[in-house]
Amino acid sequence: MKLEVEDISKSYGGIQVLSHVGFSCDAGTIMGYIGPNGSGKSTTLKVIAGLVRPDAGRVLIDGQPYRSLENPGRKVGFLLDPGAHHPGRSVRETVTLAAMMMRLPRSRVDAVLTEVGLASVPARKVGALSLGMRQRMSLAIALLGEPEVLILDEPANGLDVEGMTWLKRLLRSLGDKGTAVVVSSHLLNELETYVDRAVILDRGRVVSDQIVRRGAVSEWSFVSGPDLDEIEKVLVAQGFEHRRGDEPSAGPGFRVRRTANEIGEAMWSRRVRVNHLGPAAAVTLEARYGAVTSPQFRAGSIEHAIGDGEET
Amino acid sequence: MPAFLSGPLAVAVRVESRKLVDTRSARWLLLAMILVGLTVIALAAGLAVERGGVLEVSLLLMGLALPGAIVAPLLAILSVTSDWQHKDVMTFYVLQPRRLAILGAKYIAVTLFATAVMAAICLLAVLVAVVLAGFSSLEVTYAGLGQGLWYAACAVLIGSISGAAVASALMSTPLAVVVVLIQSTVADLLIGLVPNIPTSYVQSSTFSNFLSEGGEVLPALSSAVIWILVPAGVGAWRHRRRDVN
Repeated sequence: MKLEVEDISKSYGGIQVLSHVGFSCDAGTIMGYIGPNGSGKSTTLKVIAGLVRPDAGRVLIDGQPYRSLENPGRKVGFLLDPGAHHPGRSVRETVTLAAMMMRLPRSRVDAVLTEVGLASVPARKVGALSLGMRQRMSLAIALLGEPEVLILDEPANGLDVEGMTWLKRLLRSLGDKGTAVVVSSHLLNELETYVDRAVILDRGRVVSDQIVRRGAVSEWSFVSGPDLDEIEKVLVAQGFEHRRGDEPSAGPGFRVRRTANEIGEAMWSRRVRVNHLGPAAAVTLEARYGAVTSPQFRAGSIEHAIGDGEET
Repeated sequence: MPAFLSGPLAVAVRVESRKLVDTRSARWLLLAMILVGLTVIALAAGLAVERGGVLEVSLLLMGLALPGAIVAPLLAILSVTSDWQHKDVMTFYVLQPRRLAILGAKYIAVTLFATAVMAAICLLAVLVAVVLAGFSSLEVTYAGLGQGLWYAACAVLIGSISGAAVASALMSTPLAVVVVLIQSTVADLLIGLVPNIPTSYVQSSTFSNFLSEGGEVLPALSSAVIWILVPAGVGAWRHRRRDVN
């Protein structure tokens, strides 16, 4: 299942919050969605969820608008605000209500509470939970319907080290099973260890969309050429693991988990023209973020992110 | 399960019904409704026994309309505004993007729930009357029983629907409570003091009086439009359009 965000714009009271934002996230891809505070990340995710009406543009889930999905919770899971739950309800009741909306059996509630590590506190009131536990409960609701698309806004907020490791493994395993995951976060170093792609937003505009190097530098090469579709056909035919994206020095192309020699031979054997082939550039996400976001926001936001990880 | 019971609206009604009793505040409100109802029954029965006279069950039931008229709108307000107040809309509107289905489910759930509670209290009142008739010298009459039941039912139905309508338009718990209290206590009196206007067309009680006792149709319709349909329409529009931030 694929998520497509097409040319979204949104303004509040004359202030442009999002301007022609567009990206897509394919099945099996974990996409980091990052940007300074106030850059429009949360607004974008709420537009995807149908909670905020865009002034222009559209969002498609597997080619369909979100509103027209039958039982959408079974297809797309959202974690948008861990504080957005009635404090007087118990953990189990909160998740049960979501399960009822999705027409899921009660057994699924127990299973997902166990999965997120809340099986021992089902009767605890939401208002008595720590931020980390509320995050886990919100994640439980997002995972409840075993969705094929997962949208998470700052899921690591409030999680301890063990919780963050658990989250990372969970998201990576979901991605490997074919779930399309969009995760917004300020924790760039953490994101870099498990996302495949990073879309950077600055003042309501997408300023970068790049593949993120997860493995060692030597494992990845970058290839581009005049006909990217032809290149991709070869990569698929050869069974080479690859991701589409930009390389700062070469433009759009593919990051491939093979040596340049192997890729070159494959392209040559099919007579597919390439104009850039070599080791993938080792650009860290943080460096890329620093290069493309506005300085007046960047200094404060990174300091803020390191301090408490909050999002505006 | 039949299709109409598993459709989006039916699912939302079940969820909204459950939400009416799954928090402490909702349970306190329910308890208040039951306690006021029991107090009315006890007072009416006690007075009748003390005076050794006649207990008219229909009058007892009309008395029970009071807690219905007060608590049902509060229950409706809590149901409609609570999701916005606690940002639960972020969960429920994502799971059911057709927002009017959820708003409609709230109207249905509150009305059914308040009616069921009132029916239970009325049943208890009749049982109390039967017991008093059997074990005391009190004379119990059941004349006008149907009228009494209808009166109580109207109070609960109109209270629920108008409470939900006002709450949906205002989208604020305290504001809706103040408006509904003013509407049910002093608004009609104040409207009555305004010279040169057809007050019955504007007063909120005209529609409920018409339903319970009969009367002119046009003033009743006007009252229903002003106090129920307009707020409900505004509420539906606001719920559909409002961004969740």
